[in-house]
This record gives sequence, structure tokens and C-alpha cells, in this order.
Amino acid sequence: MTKEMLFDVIDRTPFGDLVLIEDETSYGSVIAAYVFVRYARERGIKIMIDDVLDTLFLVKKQLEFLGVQDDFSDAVVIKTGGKMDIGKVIGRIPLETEPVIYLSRYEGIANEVFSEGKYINIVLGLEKLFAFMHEPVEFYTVINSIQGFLGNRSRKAFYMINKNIASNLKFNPIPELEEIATTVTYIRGEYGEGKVTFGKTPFIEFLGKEFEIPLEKLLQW
Amino acid sequence: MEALEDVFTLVDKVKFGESVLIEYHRSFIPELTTLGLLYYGKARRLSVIIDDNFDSLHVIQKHLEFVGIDEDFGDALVVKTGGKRNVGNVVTRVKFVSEPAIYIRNYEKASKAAFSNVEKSINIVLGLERLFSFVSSVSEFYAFVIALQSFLGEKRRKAFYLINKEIASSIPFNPLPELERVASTVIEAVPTPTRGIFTFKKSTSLDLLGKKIEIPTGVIGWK
Repeated sequence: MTKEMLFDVIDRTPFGDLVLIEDETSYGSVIAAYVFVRYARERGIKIMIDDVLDTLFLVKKQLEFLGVQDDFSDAVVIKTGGKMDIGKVIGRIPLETEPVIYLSRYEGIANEVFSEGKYINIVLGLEKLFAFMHEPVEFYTVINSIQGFLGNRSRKAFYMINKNIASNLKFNPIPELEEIATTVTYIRGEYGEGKVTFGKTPFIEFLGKEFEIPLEKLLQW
Repeated sequence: MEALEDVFTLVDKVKFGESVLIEYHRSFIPELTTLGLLYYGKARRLSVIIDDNFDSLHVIQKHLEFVGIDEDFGDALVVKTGGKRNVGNVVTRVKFVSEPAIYIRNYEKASKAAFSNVEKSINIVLGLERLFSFVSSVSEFYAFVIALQSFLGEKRRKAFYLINKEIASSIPFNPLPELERVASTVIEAVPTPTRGIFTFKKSTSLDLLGKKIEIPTGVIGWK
């Protein structure tokens, strides 16, 4: 898959969609986050990043090791927990509160951001948020909140999930998130041989196909 | 089969600032790796800092003695957390408390004081799985993960975290999935009777990805 093909797919993904990206590889979600940032810049769309527990710091550091320098200073960031600020942090929510309180704070900040225009919304470290769930009612409160953003025309949202971590949680959010998402994408492969497949997509021509995106090529985009 | 210098050339490719996770299966691999990295530090004129959690270095030293290698780790700067058997040049001791926020602060304070004039180092971390075994909640767990993550990109060191895969995956808060994400390089080490087979599962150098090296115990003077 070339950069042009991928950007074309994102172009055709309508605002309001929720794209779930399940990553099983070493650097898949780090690179994917960077690709969406690049896409937004090239298309002149604003960027909003949800950063749970310093995942954006991890993305930034690991990109540096791969030879990519980016400070994400043009991205609006809502931080949940953590203490390493990357990007333009406009909201900060502690994690130790009740999900209901947490979510009302989050929704307040997010809706304010979305009232200012259209965004590419990148969600990082969501599985860490789900690690804190103890009860089904907490779990479904969070799921329900995510569902509430579905169809929000101010954003095209990309939720990155580390499959390895998420599927070992007491409340594995993947099945519910797959249900809500309009597009489900898998990143698999070993040793830099990334392969992208679609589990669910409005574009039926992509179903059942496997797209190879080697790390080496990606780094040259 | 590799000569020691060939292995060192691969360790050169690990960049300063990286955190390397070495997951091993029950074996002599921690001994082989610790000694190998100690020799690497000497060969490259780098300080070697060993984080010795709960007397892990003592076990390694004794095991080496059984195979005829007398190594007192006198050239290694040792940071001890817990335990009471001093091995190597113990430069600082971190009081272990089960509250991670406090422990992490103690650790950062102690290591900052001890290593302010160390320029470049190889950092070997032993017994991290035991620290994780004291974790009793998700927020404590992530306090540790985030603290470890914050050392990424700290260019004065190349850190190697040696973790026993069986032990780590059997503790209530298994740290391996998060550590594999945080680490910039992940190496899986599998033993055979006479050698260790090291596979680069994750790497920041494309030419190391998937690379498999076999290191015979003999290269470090093991008969």
C-alpha cells in the first residue's frame, strides 16, 4: 500500500466515523499515529490527540529512535493521567476519579475543542484507561461515552489499541469497540513486515485483502 | 556461532537512550548476558551500572562460581534495592517501600546523586520482576511503567532489562506486555545446553529486526 492509497482511504472516510486500529506489532501504532498526523498536516486539518498515561511521550521517543523528529506542537492534546507533556496540552484529567466524573470532564473539554472546527482525532493508550475498570457498570459507562461521539461531524477518529495488552485485561474492550467502530483495521506482522487488513469497512473492495506496508518503506514517506 | 567482538558490534547498534528488554527462559542466560555486558562496557570504556534488585546479582555471581568464573563485579557500580548480600561496588542503596510513588522518588534521588559524574554507561537491570510482584493495584502498576518509560531517550545510558519470562508472566500484574511496548528493543533469549540463542523481536535498527545470534557459553570463559 502506498502513501497515496492510504491517504485516499482516509479522505473517503467521512467525518463522524470511528476507526479502530488493533495493533499486534512492535512499532505499528507508533508509526500509524505519525501517519495520521502527517495526513492531517498535508490536508490542512487540525489535530486533536487523546493521550492516556504518557503514551504520546512514548510515541515521540520511539519515533526519535527510528530517525523521525516531531514535537507535535501543532496538536491539541487532552491528557489523562501521566506527567510528560507533549504537544499543546489544553486539558488534563486525573485518572483516579469515578468514571462518571472523569467522563463528564473529558466530554466537556473535548466538545469545546470540537466546537472550533474539524479535527483528525487520534486516541492513544486507550487500553490503559480500560485497565482501571473494576465493574461492568464502569466499563459500560466508558463504552457508552465513546459511542456518544459516533457521528460527531467535527472529527474523524482513530482509536489505537494495543491488542496484546487489551485482550489480557479483566474487561477486554475490543469486542465492544469493534461493535461501535465503523472501520476495524488490524496491523500484524513480524520484524518490520507490517500487514494491514480490514475486519470491517464501508469500502467493500478492501475486505479480504491484505496490504503490505514494510517499516522500511513507511519511514521514507 | 559468534565471536565476542561480533556480538559487541551488534550491541554498538543499540543506540544510547534505548531501553532493551531481554526476555529469557529459565537458564544460564542472565549469567551469560550480565558478564557479556560487563565485558562490553570494559571493551568500550563505558561505566557499567547494575541495578541489583533483591540480591539478584548475588545469585548470578554464585552461579558463575560454579562454572569456574570468579567475577567480583568490582568494576560495576551497583544500585541496590532490597536484599542484603552486597556484590560489586555498591555505590548507593535505595530503600524499598511498596508504595511505588515513594520508591520511584527514592530511586531517582539516589541514582541522581550517585551518577551525576558518570558520562556514558551501560545499565543492567536485574530482578525487575520482583519489584513488579509487590504491585497491588492498577495505578501502582502504571506508576512503575511510566517511571521506567521516562528513562527512554536518556542519552547517557543504554539500559538492558533482564526479565525471566516465566516469573514475570506468573505474577498478578504481568509487566511483560507493557514492557514490550515501552522498550525500544526487545530480545528473546532461548537456551540450548551450550549456548544462548538471542532473537531481536523489536529493534530501532532495521537490519537487526528478526536477527538471530547464537552465543556459546565459551566466549566468556565458561568451560
